[in-house]
Amino acid sequence: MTYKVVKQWRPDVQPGETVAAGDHGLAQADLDFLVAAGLLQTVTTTQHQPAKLKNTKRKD
Amino acid sequence: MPTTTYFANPDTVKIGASALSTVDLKDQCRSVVFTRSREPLESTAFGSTDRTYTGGLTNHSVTATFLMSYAATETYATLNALVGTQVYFECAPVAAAPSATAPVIKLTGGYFESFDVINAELGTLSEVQITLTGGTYSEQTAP
Repeated sequence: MTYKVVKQWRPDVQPGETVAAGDHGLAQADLDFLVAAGLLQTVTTTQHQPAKLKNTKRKD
Repeated sequence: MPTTTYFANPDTVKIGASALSTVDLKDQCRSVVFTRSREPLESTAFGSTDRTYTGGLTNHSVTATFLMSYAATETYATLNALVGTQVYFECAPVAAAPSATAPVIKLTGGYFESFDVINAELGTLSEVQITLTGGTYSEQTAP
């Protein structure tokens, strides 16, 4: 899971940057806290829906 | 007359899930009491006429008062997320680079038991008090 930095809380982390657990030494507990405190925002990934298959059955 | 005194005005009051994810609530904080403590274990033995004690486990505590704010990254957002967890707390009493005469006092893993999500009284600025207990005490005396 990735998170977008909304507000800077450390000099080595820039607003707009995307972070995940392990980046900058941050554990998941840190990320959860920063989300709750409003410093990070969860990045939601939109999944592409597969195109609907056309009905190729031939009508008799 | 004392040679030097300390006009209480800490430079940072940081709290967070760990040292890597703290929020500086200095602008909301009105008081901090950080007590370093070690439990006494009685070592008085037969033949003694005075009670004597030796140091046992440490049991530090931090009590801090904050002005309440429900805005993003302020008191409520920061502290409510930490209830029931072990937190990191840091306070720099002096606005200077860390040194022996400007230590940064830290508590790692202090237990944050409860938080008044509302403390409202007519005609007053809302304040909340938090207490952290236990954890590991440390001082930073070099940059």
